[in-house]
Amino acid sequence: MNTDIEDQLIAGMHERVGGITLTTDVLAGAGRRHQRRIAIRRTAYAAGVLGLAGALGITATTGGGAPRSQTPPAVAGAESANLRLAAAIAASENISYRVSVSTHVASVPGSPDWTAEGAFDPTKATGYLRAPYTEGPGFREERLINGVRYAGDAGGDKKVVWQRYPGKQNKLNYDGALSGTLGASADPASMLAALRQAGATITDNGAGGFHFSVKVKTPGAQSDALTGDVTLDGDKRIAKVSYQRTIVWVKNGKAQSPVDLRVTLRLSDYGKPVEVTKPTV
Amino acid sequence: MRWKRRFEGLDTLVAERGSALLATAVLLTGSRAAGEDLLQAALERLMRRWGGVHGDLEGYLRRTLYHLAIDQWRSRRRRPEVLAEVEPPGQSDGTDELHLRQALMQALVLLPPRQRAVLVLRYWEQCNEAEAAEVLGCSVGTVKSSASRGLARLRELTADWEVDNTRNWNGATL
Repeated sequence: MNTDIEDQLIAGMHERVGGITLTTDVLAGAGRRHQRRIAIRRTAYAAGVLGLAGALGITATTGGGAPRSQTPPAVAGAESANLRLAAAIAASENISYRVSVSTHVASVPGSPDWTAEGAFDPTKATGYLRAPYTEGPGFREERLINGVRYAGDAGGDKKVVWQRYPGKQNKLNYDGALSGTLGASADPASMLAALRQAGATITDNGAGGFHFSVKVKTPGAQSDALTGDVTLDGDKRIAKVSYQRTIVWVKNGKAQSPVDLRVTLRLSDYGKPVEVTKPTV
Repeated sequence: MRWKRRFEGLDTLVAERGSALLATAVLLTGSRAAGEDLLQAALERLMRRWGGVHGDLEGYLRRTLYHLAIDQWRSRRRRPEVLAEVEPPGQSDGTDELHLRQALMQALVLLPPRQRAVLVLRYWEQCNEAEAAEVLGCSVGTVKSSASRGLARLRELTADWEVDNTRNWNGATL
C-alpha cells in the first residue's frame, strides 16, 4: 500500500481541525431545533385529528351512535351533503383499513415532507404505523397487537430497538407521524368535541365528495383555520381527506408567523386483515 | 431552561467532547458552518431519542454524525464550501507539502459521502476496518472498498501534485 497519501491525509486532517474548538452554543441551537420540530409536529397532529374529525365527526351528529351535539356543525348547501357524508363515515367506522398521512409544512421553505404509513383494525386493537425521520434514514414504528403496544426506533443502520409498554391500548400512537394519539376510529367522540364547538361548514365539492372548513379555538393560538376536501371510494367510504391548516401561535403576547400545513390522509383496503408480527423486545 | 433539565448531562458531554465531535463534523462536511449544523442535527436526534438511548451517549452522537453525513441530510440545500477543482501551484515555493495537504482536504469533500466517512473514520478517528464498519452499520467489505476507492479518487484529484520533485502519487520515479 502506498502510505504517502495516507500520511499526508492524516497530517492534512490534523492541520484542518486539530485545534478546533467549539465556540457556538450548538446545544442551545439543537434545543431550539427540537422545540421547533415538536411545535410543527404538534400542529400537524392537531391538523390530522381535526381533518379526521371533519370526516368522521359528522357521524355522531347526524347518524352515528354518539350523543347528538347541542351545537351541531352548521351545514351549508344541501342537507344531502351532510347525510351522504354521514353515510360514508358510518361505512368507514369499525372496520380495518390502511392509512397514510403525508404532511408538507408550506410555511417553512425547504422543510422536508414526511409520510407515515400503517394499518389498523379497531375491532382487534391491532395495527402498525411507521413514520420516517425527516433528516435521516431512520424511522419510528408503532405496533399494536391485541391492545399491547410496542414502539421501535431505528437509526441509519435500520436496526430497530423495541420497547413494550404496559397495559392495554385501543389506538395507535402517532407520535412519530403527527405527534399525538390519533384515535380516528377508536375515539371519534373526543375529536368531535372541537368540531362541534367550532362549527363546521360542509358542502358538496362538485366531484362527488365534500368540502369542509372550520375555524378552531386552539389554546395558545390567535387563529386556527382548516379547510379541505373529503373524497370517497367506489364503496362510498372515505378514501382521502386533504386539507390546509393555517394557525397563528401567540408567544409572549405576540402573534407569530403563520404555520401553514398541507396534510393528505389516505384510507384504503377497508375490511382486509391486518397482520402484525410481534417484535422481539 | 426546561429542556436542559430534561436532557440532564448533555451539556456536560458537549462541554467536554463538543470540540472533538465538531472536528469530526467539519471533516465530514467540509466547513465549520456545515459542521456545526451537522452537530446540531445530531444533538437534536439524540434529544428526540433521549429515552431510548442508554449508556454511551458520545458513541451514539458520533454514529449519528456519520449516518446523517452519509445520508446527505441537507444536500439539496447546502453544498460543500469547497473549490470544484484542486489546482496545483505553478511553481514550487517550498511549501508544496502544505499546499498538497490543503488540496487533499478540498478533494476529500468532493468524495461521495460514504467514501469520505470511511476515510475520516480510518485516518482521523484511527478506527480499524471492523470498527469503522460497526459505526457505519455496514460490512467490512464495504469499508475496504470505500476506502480503496476514496484513496484512489484522492490520488486522481491531486494527480498533478508532487510531494517532491522525484516522486508522484503512484510512487513512480519521474
